[in-house]
Amino acid sequence: MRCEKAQRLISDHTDKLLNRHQTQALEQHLKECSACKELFNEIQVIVREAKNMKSVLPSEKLWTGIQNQIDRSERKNRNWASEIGQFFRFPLYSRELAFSVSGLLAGLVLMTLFYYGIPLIQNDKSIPEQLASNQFAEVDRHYQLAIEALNQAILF
Amino acid sequence: MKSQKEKVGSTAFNGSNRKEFLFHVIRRCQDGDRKAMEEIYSNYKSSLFNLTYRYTRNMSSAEDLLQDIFIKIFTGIRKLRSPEAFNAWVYRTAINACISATRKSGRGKIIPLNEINKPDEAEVENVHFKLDMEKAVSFLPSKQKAVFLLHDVQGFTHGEIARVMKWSEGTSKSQLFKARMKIRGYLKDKRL
Repeated sequence: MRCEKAQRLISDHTDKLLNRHQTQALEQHLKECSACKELFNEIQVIVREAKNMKSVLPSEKLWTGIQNQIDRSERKNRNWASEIGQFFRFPLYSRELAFSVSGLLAGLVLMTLFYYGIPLIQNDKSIPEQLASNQFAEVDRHYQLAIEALNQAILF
Repeated sequence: MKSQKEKVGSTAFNGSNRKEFLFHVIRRCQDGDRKAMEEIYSNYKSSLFNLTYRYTRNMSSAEDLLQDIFIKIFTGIRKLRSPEAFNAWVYRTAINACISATRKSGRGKIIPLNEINKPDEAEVENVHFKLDMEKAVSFLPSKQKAVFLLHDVQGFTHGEIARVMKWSEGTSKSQLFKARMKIRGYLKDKRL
C-alpha cells in the first residue's frame, strides 16, 4: 500500500470504519512505515482530545431572554393581523382564512384570463394583424365608393 | 471527564422509545405550547451552545447566537412537515447561523481563549495542549469545523452529519479527514 492511500484510510481506521481487508492492509503498512504510523498516533491523540474538549453551558437567564423575544414577536404579529382586520372590517386572525381568500381571488383572476384569453389565442391572427386587416378593408371600401362615384359622374 | 452520552445533543430524545415523545413535543411546539418549547430548549441548549461557542470563541456572542438560533427554530417549527427530520433540521439551522455569524464577524479574527481553561499547575502541559486544540479548531474552515465538532466532539455518525449538512457520507468522511489533518498541522507548528 502507498503512503498516500494509507493516509486517506487512517482517519476512517481511527473511527473503526474500515472493512477487514482494508484494516489488514493498513496495519501491515503501519508496521513498515514510521511516517504513517506517526500520523496514525497523532490522529488518535486529536480524536481522544476532541472527546475531552471542555463542555460549556449557557447562562440560566438565556431561556427568559428567548421567551421575551418570542412574546415580542407574537405581539407584533397579533397587532399586524388586527390592523389588517380593522382595515377590511373583518377579522383576519386566522392564517387559513387569509390563505383561502387569497386562493379564491387568484382563482377568479385565472378564470377571467382563461375566459377572455382563449378566444384570442384560438384566433389565427394576432391583435395587430387583425387591426391592420380591418384598416385595409376600410380603405378598400372607400376606394370602391370613389370609383363608383366617378363612374356615375362620367355617365351623367 | 464528561461521558459520551452527556456530550451528544438531545440525549433525552434519543432512542426509538423516545421518538413518539419527541413527535408529541414537536406537535405541541407547533401549536405554540411554551412548555414544549422549554423541553426542546433544555434538550438542545448544551449541544448547540458548544457549537456556537466554538464558532464565536466568546461566551457572550455565543449566547446571543444561541438565542437567535432558538428563535429561528421556534418560528420555523410551524413549517416543519416531517418530525423525523427535526434533529437534522435543528443542527442545520444552528450550523447555518454559525457560518453566517462567522462571515459577518470576519474570518481569522482571533479572540483570546483564556476563559476556556484556567491553568492547573498539576497539568500545565495538558492545559496548554487543550488550549492549542481549541485554537486549532477555531482556525478550521466553517464546514470542516462543523464536521469535526459534530463527529469528534459531539459523537455524531457520518450518516447523521450527512443528513444535517445535506452531503453524502463520503463527503463527511473526507471533510473530517481534512479537518483532522489541519488540526495536526497546527499542533505540529506550535510544538516546533
